[in-house]
Amino acid sequence: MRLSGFRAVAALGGLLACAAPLHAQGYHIRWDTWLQSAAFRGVSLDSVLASETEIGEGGGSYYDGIAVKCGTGADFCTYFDLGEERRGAPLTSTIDASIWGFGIQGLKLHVKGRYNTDLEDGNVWPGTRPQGQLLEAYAEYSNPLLTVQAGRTHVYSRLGFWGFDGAQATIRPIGGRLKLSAYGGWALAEAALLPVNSEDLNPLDDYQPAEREVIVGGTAGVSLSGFDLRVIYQRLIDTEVDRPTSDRGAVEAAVRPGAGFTVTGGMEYNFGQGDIGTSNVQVAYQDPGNWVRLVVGNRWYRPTFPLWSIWGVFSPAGYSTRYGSIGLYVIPGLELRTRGEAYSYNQGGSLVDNSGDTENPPSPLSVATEDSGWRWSAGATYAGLRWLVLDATYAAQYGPGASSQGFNGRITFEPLRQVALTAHGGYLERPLEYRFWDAEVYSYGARLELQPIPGIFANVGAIRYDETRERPDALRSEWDHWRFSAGLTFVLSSSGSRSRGLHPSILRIPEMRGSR
Amino acid sequence: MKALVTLAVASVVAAAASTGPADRGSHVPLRDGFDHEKHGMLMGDCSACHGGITSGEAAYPDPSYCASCHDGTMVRRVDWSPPSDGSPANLKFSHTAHPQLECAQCHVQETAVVRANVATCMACHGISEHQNPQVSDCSMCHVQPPAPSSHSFEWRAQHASEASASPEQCATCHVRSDCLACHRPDAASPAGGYHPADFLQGHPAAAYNRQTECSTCHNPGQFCQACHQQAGLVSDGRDLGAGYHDGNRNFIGGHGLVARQNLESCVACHTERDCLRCHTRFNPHGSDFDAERWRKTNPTVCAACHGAAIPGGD
Repeated sequence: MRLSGFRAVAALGGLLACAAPLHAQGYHIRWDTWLQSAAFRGVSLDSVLASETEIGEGGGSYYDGIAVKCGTGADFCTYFDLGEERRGAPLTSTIDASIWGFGIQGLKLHVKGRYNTDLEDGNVWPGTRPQGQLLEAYAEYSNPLLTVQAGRTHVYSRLGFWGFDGAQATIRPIGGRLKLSAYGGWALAEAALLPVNSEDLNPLDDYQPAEREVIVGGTAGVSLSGFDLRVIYQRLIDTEVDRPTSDRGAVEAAVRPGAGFTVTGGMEYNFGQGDIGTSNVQVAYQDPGNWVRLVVGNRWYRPTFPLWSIWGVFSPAGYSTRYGSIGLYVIPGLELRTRGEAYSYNQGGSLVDNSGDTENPPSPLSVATEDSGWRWSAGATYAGLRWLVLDATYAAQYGPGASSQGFNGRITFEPLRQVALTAHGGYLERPLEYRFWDAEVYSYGARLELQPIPGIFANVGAIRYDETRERPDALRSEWDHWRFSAGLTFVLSSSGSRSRGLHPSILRIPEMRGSR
Repeated sequence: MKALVTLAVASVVAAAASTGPADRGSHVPLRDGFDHEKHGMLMGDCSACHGGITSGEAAYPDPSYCASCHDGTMVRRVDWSPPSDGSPANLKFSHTAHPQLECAQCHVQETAVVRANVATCMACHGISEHQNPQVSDCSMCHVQPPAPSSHSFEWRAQHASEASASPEQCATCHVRSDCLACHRPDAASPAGGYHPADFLQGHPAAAYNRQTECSTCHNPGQFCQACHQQAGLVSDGRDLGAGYHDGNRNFIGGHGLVARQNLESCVACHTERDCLRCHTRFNPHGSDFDAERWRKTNPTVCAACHGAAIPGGD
């Protein structure tokens, strides 16, 4: 947000706060602070003279037992050595504040801001720049018929999650069964708090737009008993050349015919490129007694790139996936679950199949690759006792480019409502198809959560990683390290409520217990 | 931006003026159809039947009290018993905590006895935000509802379609700002609670196989490239194929199929200029590439390779 705009919103807030009686002011403030210390170790490109290498078993070139890559006729060969250990200590502090009670029913100010820094030298952790980040800052008026927001806000739909500095309005006529909304402003980049022309956004600095994009869009939705339908349109415009960098639409629906069935689905269309984007349909069944939940679905996924980059012209291939899952709740508090998915890439639409063409045969250097994959998982959670949660999951996947398998488990012990202690561990094996390295890592950790007094929440955690990086040469390595985290949350509300700020229903999801 | 703020303020004032500050909504009739107006002539006031409600005693009269008239002789017998399902809603409201209120303040609309609605509470409590799902903390007024049965183990990974199609369903319990915990995770929290604790170690396979769409929450430039650059994985002008892909020594010769299947992974390390070193000479377009539509939509990207001589251009 431009500074002048932010000042205007702040001034409006101050004016309204002073105009209303103090006892009528309502507020809810949540202040989260997180600190983490983590390490990672990448790779470092090195080279040797070609004359110092030798041909090893299998015909490859080696230097001192290390596989190297030698270009034809080149004087030197290259290889990736282990990189140095990089350690980051990101600190994040986020304030989320809502203020209302200005004498106009339905008027609210909302601000969510964040301070980031890396306490270690080198600033190695992603997402810590800029240090000050404004997630939301808007004034809102809302009544049953109308909602208007102005300031820094966001929209979400199946086209993505977009922030912008501008305004959006929603009207809900016919008792809310019809919903029409429109929005516009200066866009932030997708899934970022920075505009697309920010230096912090693109460290590789290629075809980054010089000016900030403008975003416009709207939705029309109908909500009837057991049926929701929504049509979406959104366009982003490069203001420097006055051309769209994204021009997309979508339709989506959710149908609840009863008897425990829910059908959801939708389809995207890229007007800029003229192709159908990610589409899906899913059927879920939940029996009335909540003993079983079944989900089956089909999804066609097509990656989308902005038109200011060239990536889309490479005709990225989408894939079609079929998935299903079963959740069984055989006794109170016990969930047994499994999920499977199989997918295959669509080649015909984007690749020229010349396998039968004798005049233009496929390149003899073609990389043998997979064009399909699968993944599945199975697990169980027991949360039948107030003071104990047991959880274990096994997951495996294999697909073009990578595969992995592993398991993790945890035990959460809550002797008091104000204290939760979690111990967790896991194993992961992750060979990558185009690299020598097959890494396996064991992790063991513990986490303590406390609520010493109402409105204050604290947590500390530590994880030990023992990693082995296998490869058939002298660069086989082991790397073990610790990771630490700590968090502190203050909640202050005019109502006197001191809840965590997350709704209890969120915390009742088994996976969320112990995660905040 | 000043103009925008002015416009917003004007909109707010206009909307407020059109709606009025005391739109209390419509009241809901009682569930059991009991005719209070008819019985009121006999009972005199509410306390005749509900006298114990503010002291925490019985909120309803004993059925025998009805039978004192409805004895089948004077008037017909009735089959009535007090509701057994407790509070009619998931409210924390307690009559004993509101002894100062007259019954009619909440339960009388014109001459009809009705259930109190939310706007009645808001008139005193000054929250005025119930229609606004973005206000934090529903638990201020509501008891803890159980999580819907749809929120099973895979809900976090599968909620997008339903949340987008019918966001009002989510707003029954959730506030919008909650979405930002995962959709714009902060740098220091362990992945905002979305990923498991050891996800950093295992993210290559998940990202490569598109187990989840990383760009839903992470900007590839700010997050993926920045970190890969620190880890030494970014090509950044080096010769293509040097080392990283040496699991297959002829990778570059046939990388097209791989690249098209996993372009999002390629761009986590490679710059556009890496590809354009060769692809200004070798056609990168697939068979379904609609060049004419691209040119009409935004010819800027075409000019990266074609310069001013964009095929099909004027």
